[in-house]
Amino acid sequence: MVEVAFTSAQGDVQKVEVDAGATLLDAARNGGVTGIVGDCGGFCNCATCHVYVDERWYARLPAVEEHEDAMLDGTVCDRLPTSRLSCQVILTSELDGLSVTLPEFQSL
Amino acid sequence: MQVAGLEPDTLGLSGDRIADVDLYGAVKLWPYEHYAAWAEADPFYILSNGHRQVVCARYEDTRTVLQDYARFTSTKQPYPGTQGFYFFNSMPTVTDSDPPEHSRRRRLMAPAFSPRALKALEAKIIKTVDDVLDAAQAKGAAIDAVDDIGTPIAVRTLLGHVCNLDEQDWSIFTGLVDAQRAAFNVLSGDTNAKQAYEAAWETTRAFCDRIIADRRVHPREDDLVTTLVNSHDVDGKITTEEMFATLFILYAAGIGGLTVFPAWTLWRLGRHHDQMALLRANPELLEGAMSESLRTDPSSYASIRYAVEDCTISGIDVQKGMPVHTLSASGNFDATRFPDPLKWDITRGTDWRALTSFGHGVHQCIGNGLVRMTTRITLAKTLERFPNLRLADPDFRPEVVGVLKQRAPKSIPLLVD
Repeated sequence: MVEVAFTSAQGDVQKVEVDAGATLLDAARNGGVTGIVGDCGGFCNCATCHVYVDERWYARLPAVEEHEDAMLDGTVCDRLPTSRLSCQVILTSELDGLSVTLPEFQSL
Repeated sequence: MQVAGLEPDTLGLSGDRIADVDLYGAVKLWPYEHYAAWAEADPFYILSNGHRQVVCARYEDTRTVLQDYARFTSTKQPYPGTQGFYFFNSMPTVTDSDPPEHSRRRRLMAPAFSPRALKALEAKIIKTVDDVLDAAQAKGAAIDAVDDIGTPIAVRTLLGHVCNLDEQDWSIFTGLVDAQRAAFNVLSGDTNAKQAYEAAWETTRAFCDRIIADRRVHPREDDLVTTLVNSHDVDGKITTEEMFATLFILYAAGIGGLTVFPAWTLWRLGRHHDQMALLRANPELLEGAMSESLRTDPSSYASIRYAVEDCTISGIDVQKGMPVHTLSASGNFDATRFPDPLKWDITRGTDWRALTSFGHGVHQCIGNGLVRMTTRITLAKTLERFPNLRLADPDFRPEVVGVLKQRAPKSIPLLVD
């Protein structure tokens, strides 16, 4: 199992456990985390599953690919150097303990 | 469950699973009972020009096909009896391709429809809706949900605000849409309207030539055409044909969805007086009304894919190259997910993401956020503006038009006095 801590824009922390192989978006959905929308269902097409990865974890994630990079430019809240789309982050055992913060908004 | 209307199979393959139905004719006009029956049915075959084609209508089957682009390609194949789906003249469009080409083409369009772009558009769309409703109100007691509300809002929003086209050029694209609808409304593609369509196509192509040349000389900030030109000229990321194809798709494909969603919803509210009263008393149910309208009357009710290899879907044999029609709206009538599916009920609490109304997978409609936002504004303001809005004929059933995959009401006469 992989544990992920989601911190809301208001500072509330929710920890979720999922099987390795799930995406970060899956983890948020399974845990009922509000603040992640995922309009397109996880196909990197909507930029509404935006998260800010804690700096100490960011470098451990696989690199951002071209399509995700383009979609990140369209997020409602500002893109930061640690921004990712949660549908593109596959959780492995090496990411057990991952911590991310949610933006204030994902869409209008 | 066996499909109603099946005839004994004499051609082999998977037994007696040929249905004698016209998906793009009679079913398109009034599909709801078919949807409800097929939502529980195994995939089946239809015949076109004497050749078998597969139809998937169950919720899970449609999503499986739409998601699995490795087995079911969006690239058009030369299979007899599907020429009616060739309404973009085999251009290298985002809709008729699979990843990675699809992803590359989609990235070019994505900035125009991103959450950030929609936020910037919201105030303009509110103003547009107000202006259009002013004009409709000035007409008097009788207005039309399509001609006086849906279409003008769609055209101004897409061609004006999203695409930055001058108003004098809008008719080029509305003309192309009309010509496409006339020429691609039967599966075989055999219509008498092809000549008019070819003329409209050439007019559009000439316009795209001009606007591309203009942007090369006068690039604009936050402008999709400028982005496309740079991708082609500077970055070499797209071909000339891809540049044209993207413009055609962007300009022509979006008008339908923007027009249809508010129009169908107003028709439904006009038919179901109890639901109209409920919504007026509880404006917070607007999202519920929109989800219910998306469930029953999505703009795009069907899609086509082609099998990449011999395979089976839920027990039916599919040969390499064979068309697979996904009747995505039918899954929205799955009684296990949407109890009493023929009932139109704005209190279901359906999450629109559970529907397949905007497609599913990598080809999910890129404009769905724009369509939902525009429709939300349009419906709220229309109901507020016209407190006595109703169908001119309480039992009215619209004529249904649109290219093969689309169900668009031609006209919905309303009274607002």
